[in-house]
Amino acid sequence: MIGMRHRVASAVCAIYCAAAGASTAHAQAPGDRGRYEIGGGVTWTGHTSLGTAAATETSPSGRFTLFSTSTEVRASAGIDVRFGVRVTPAFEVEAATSYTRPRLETAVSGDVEGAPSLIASESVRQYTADGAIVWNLLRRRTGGNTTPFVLAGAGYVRALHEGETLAASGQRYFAGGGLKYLLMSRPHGLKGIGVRGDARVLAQRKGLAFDNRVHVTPTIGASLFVAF
Amino acid sequence: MIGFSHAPRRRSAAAAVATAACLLVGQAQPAFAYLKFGVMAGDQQVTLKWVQTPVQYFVSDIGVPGVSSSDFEAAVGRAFGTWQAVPTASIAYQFGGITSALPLEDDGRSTLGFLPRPDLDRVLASTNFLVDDATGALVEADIFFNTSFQWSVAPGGENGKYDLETIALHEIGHLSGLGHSAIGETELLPNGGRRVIAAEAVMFPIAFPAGTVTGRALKPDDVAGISDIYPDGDFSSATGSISGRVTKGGEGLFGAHVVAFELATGHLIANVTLNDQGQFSIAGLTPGPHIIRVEPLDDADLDSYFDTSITTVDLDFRVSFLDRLVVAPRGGDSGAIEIKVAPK
Repeated sequence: MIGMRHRVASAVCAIYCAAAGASTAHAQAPGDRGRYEIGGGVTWTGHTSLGTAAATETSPSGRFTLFSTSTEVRASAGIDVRFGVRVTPAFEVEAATSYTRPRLETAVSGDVEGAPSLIASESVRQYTADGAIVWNLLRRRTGGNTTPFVLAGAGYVRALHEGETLAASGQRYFAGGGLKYLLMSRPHGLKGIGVRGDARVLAQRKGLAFDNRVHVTPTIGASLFVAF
Repeated sequence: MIGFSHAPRRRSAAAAVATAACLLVGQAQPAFAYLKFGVMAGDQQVTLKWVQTPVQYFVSDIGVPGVSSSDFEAAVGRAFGTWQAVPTASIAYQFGGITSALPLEDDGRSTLGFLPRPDLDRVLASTNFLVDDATGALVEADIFFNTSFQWSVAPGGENGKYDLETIALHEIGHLSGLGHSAIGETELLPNGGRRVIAAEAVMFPIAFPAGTVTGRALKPDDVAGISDIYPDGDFSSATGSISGRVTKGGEGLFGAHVVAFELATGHLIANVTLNDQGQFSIAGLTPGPHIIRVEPLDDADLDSYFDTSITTVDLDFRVSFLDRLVVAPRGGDSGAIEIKVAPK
């Protein structure tokens, strides 16, 4: 057990030293808050309509509707973790992962034999893995503590239906922006602690969506980050 | 060795009807997906099916006004081809030739042809089986088309005449071992018959009115059924099933029609509860979430589905939906679900 702690400590030290080395190797702007950033927080994704569908049968004069459905993925909150690397003074690349538990709901109505309308639903576990490019803007004009940014990226989504009986995967693309605000900073070691808020437009294909269409939904997030 | 002497001809599955129900007297088989014919082989109930394929069939050399024997051969050939083209089913058929024999002769040949049956004034056509009692395997299946009705093979159908290919497609489903599907809506007529409003299965027991050709294409329920009996390719691994019980007042309910609506495809695939525990299983579903709807089996005569001399079907409950989405997993089963229904 003691040996293990020692190895962990050594690894942290190695990362720290590497970060410090990289930091000095790049000509960074004054007020720079480090090359690496790790953050975690909460995220909220708006509802996604998956459209309507009717259960129909064949009749001599066309289609006969047995009942109608309308399906959506309900808005949901979740958690996310991200890791960013500054590649130039203005640009970062970041990787992120998130976990949410949205509900898939189908409203059933208009049954031809009078069955009561209802909402049939299931709980879904959804995981994402994203990559993004972040462009930090106007850092000097905001006095160094606040950094607006815009970002764009793409990722992978994997949804596990209730009971984990079926997995569905898909692609997601997003663009948006936000603000980072440094709560504290110092010149060496852990260079800063701050909060970040962002808003994005998310375009997703497949996953929980059982058609091939792209579904667009808003998403917002708030997180705490450390820079080093 | 096929024991012909112990294989009585069973007048089980009949077929499409003129205006009212009838047909089908096959015993439904518990614990199997899809409504299939069950036969007793020794002391065990087994699914009625062809053990060897291609299934060879012969065509009787008798025509009727408007349909020559060659027209007949071509129309039933197209219907056999439609079933054979199901990519997830392995059954195949082979035309054996024209014969002077008539359907219903116990000659070891499956023969399709016209027969005058004025006594069956609501039966368009009928499939009769010869079954090996020892194994339950099909030995012979004859189909007769009732000359009491007017028939057509016109590509677009003819007013007042029944489309031969449509009715043959239904009967060949029986010949292959399928029972009736209940995915259809009907209304009662003053004469006691029924009019079909809509159906989403070729194997629905009541035919569309004369002159229509909408029944020449198989529906997802038919494809699921034939693929369940004769699975081929990746059918078993690429599709899933939903199973469970239908209960009323805590007791299992026999004969409830359970329909799965696939949100991804819009397909309707169904089965009925097949024992006193109210158990059902619906196979051949596209993996993904489904809406489950339960209704009484009241859109056709009950003897279209069950041998009502030995079973009692409960029709006293309200149509209802399950309040949760049920996922059919790929290559697996949903796990038992319970659908509670209330009396009317």
